[in-house]
Amino acid sequence: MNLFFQFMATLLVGFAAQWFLPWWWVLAPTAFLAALVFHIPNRLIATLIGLFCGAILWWGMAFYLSTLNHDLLAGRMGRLFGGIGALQMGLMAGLLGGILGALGALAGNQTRNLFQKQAPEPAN
Amino acid sequence: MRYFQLLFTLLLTLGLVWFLNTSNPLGIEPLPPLGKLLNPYGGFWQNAEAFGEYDSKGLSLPGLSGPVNIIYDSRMVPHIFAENLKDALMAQGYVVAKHRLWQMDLAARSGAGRLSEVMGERTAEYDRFQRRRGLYRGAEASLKAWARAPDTMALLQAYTDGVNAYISTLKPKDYPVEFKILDYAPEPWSPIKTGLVQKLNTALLCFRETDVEATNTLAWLGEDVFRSLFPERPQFESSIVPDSCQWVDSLQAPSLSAVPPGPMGFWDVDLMPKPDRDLGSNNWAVSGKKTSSGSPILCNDPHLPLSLPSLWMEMQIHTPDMNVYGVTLPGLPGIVLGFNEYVAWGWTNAGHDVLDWYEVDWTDPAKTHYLFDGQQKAATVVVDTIKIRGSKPVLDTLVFTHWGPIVYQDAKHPKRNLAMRWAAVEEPGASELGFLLGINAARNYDEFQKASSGFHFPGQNMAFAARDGDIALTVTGRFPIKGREQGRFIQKGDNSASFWSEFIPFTDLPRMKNPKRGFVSSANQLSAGPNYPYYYNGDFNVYRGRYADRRLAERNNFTIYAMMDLQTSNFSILAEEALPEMLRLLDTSRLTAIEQGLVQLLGTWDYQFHSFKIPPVIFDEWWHALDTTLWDEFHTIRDTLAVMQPERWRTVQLLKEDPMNGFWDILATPERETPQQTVTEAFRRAIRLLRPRLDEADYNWGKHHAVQINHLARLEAFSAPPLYPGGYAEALNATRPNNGPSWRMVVEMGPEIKAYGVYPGGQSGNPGSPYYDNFLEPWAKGLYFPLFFMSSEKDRKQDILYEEVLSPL
Repeated sequence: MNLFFQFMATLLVGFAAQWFLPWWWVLAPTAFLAALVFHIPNRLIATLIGLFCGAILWWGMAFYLSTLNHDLLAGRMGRLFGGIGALQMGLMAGLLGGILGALGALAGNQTRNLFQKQAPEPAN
Repeated sequence: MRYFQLLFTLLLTLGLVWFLNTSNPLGIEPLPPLGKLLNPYGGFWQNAEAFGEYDSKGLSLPGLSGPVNIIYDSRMVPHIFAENLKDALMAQGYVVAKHRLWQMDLAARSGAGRLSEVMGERTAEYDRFQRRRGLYRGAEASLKAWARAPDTMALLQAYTDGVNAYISTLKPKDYPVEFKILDYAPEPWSPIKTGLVQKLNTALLCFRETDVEATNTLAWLGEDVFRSLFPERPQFESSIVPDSCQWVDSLQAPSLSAVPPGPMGFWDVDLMPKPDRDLGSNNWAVSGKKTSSGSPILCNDPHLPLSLPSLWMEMQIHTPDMNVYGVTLPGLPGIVLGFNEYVAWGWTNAGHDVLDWYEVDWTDPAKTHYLFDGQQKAATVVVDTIKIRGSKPVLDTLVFTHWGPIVYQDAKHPKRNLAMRWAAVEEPGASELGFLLGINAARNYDEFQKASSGFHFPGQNMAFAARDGDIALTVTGRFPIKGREQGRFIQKGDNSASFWSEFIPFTDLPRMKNPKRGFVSSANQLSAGPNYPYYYNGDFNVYRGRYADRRLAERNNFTIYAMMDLQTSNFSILAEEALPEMLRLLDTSRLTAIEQGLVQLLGTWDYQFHSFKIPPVIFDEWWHALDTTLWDEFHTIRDTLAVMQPERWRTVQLLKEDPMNGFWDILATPERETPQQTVTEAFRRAIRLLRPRLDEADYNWGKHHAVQINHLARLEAFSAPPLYPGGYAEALNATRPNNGPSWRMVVEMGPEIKAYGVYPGGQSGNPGSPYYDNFLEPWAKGLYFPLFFMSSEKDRKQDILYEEVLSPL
């Protein structure tokens, strides 16, 4: 159940935080909190949830904005990045968002582990 | 163990965030802060404008006295409807900021010499140059003068408030994309920034002089050869205001005390960069007698540096007292070139020399005092600090004399210094700020004259046409009253007689109104005929004006379309006069069969620099090769000494009638060449250079002189792909690789005003907008847009895109 909650919290709170707050890195602390509060024993899965949510939040928004723009600006920006296309620009954004989410989630999971001294090491 | 794992993850995260938050973390320029930039919630994706959606939110603006309606037409031209001028200008500030904020910021920084604060070391030398020549000092002086006209100052303040109202609506995610790439935030606008924008454009047009080069050339060639190669008036002139105008007789120039001769000898100085000599413009107005509609037509196309975003922005401003349409320079209140319901106007540059150099006579080795009229005067030392992003500030010491700053020092004789006097950065009159708004509201010739008398720099040939039938042209600006040849060479700085202190009175400036010939025109040529009593010197074009005059004189019944045809004409008198002589002197017996074939091709050419033609390619290369072989003496000495370059018309004159001239000799060969040999050698050199390209399929003039319109920060990603229009520096359609017709306008001032225009760019400064570069292709093809001159807010003769309301708070 916590798995689902971590997923939804990262996605929804992450979206809201990025929408309203000015810091581009705000996804990392949101993923951190989500993984901390809705702790799941499997560290790898917790990290992957962060990665997936981050990638979706960044790539999805980039894709949405760029589609309405007929990829005009993303195409131009791609030339700034050595001649890649709008699609690759979107994937690059998705990758960055994914890394932010993954690192945040991992750190959150690890922090919770510090306080769960009684819990046995998860048998993955 | 768990602590270490967590610590590792946290450090990794923080490290990554820092890395992606920093400009040039690895010292790679220009690597922007990647995380910030790529983040779709705040980075560049936010600048990707949704097609078909427009920001019509509007704004409540403190200071407005009534609502202002801004209507955007289908080309995104804003039409501002306000209840008074102050409200209108506040809205204008808001509108230019909304579309061109980064460009305005860049212009103000560029003028102030503050680019390095955001660009780093790469612009430090440029900043130093801008500060040395004094654009900031000039803007400060302007502001001081403008403050004496509080009414117009209040209007400038309203414009400033409008810009700042827009800036205050911005969150970092809304900043124009260039701010994000270069990683800095917009600063508030202020009146001095308007002064800086004005100085920057002034510098583009009246920073041309050749005093050092002329002094060196005179010392090198001697008096006789110098005078023969560099006469002050060209062989075939067609001055803007010919002597046939009666008013010349009634003019009397004041007699000046003799100007002392300047110092002779060579100067070894590192010259400041100068604007391209081929910047220029065309304008003309024909009276109703010469048009098929019976109404006067006015045309104008200023040839200026071409960039994205474009120098110009189109706009209409409507108040109960004024209805004006045209182009504005973002940062300047009002419309610079355009028309209203009564009059139309267009400008070309008057190339008068308003910048002179004075040799300073130091009295002590430390250079603290200098001699002036027999007395010792103290020089003032000012230390200027140039802040540089990511590195230590640079201090630049400037020494001021009463002439101006010491800019040049002779490399071989450190005691020899040159002080610069540039009239364009001196304090103007109080009326300068209001002149443009005065022109915008003018209803007839007299009102136009009254307003333009307040204009200072850069001197402009102002063509005028009114709906009441008047056409006129006045060479307008502040031109120093000079003694003969004063300021042509370096002058002595120890003597007040070298100092020009008066300017030609407005009433004595060259002008014509409703001339018998039925048209007025200018294309940067000499201002007035030889009998004009005031001496002036400078840089004047010889070919474009003659062609315009020829075409305007040869027919009547001009239509708007005939005018467009003339404005985009690719014909060049330079080719018409030079090529037959070059062909005559060409020794075809020394040419290969292929070369002879190319000669035949040239023989059939009609001197039109059309994009699809091949002969202009050959002519242009041949002409360049001839310039370097004929004037090889100049090109050789230029490695060690700054010298002038003979004018193009002087080359033509040599071709035509001067076979014995010593310059025909090619220095590098032992024998003495005849004109035939030099011309033939030049041809063969040109063809050697051209052969590989001529073998390409589809190679033509368009490809040969492709126009490259770059982004203002030289970001290749935001620059235009190469364009291939026709045209030539010495044709009316004066396209060049990086400059050319920056705004083409044709206006018929009839019962219904019919206006057409185009500029190479787009209304939006945002590379993420479809309106960023949508005028480029039509411009390159020589097409025009019908301008929607709205008679009222309800006017829907053309489609509109969206409306936006600014309301009082």
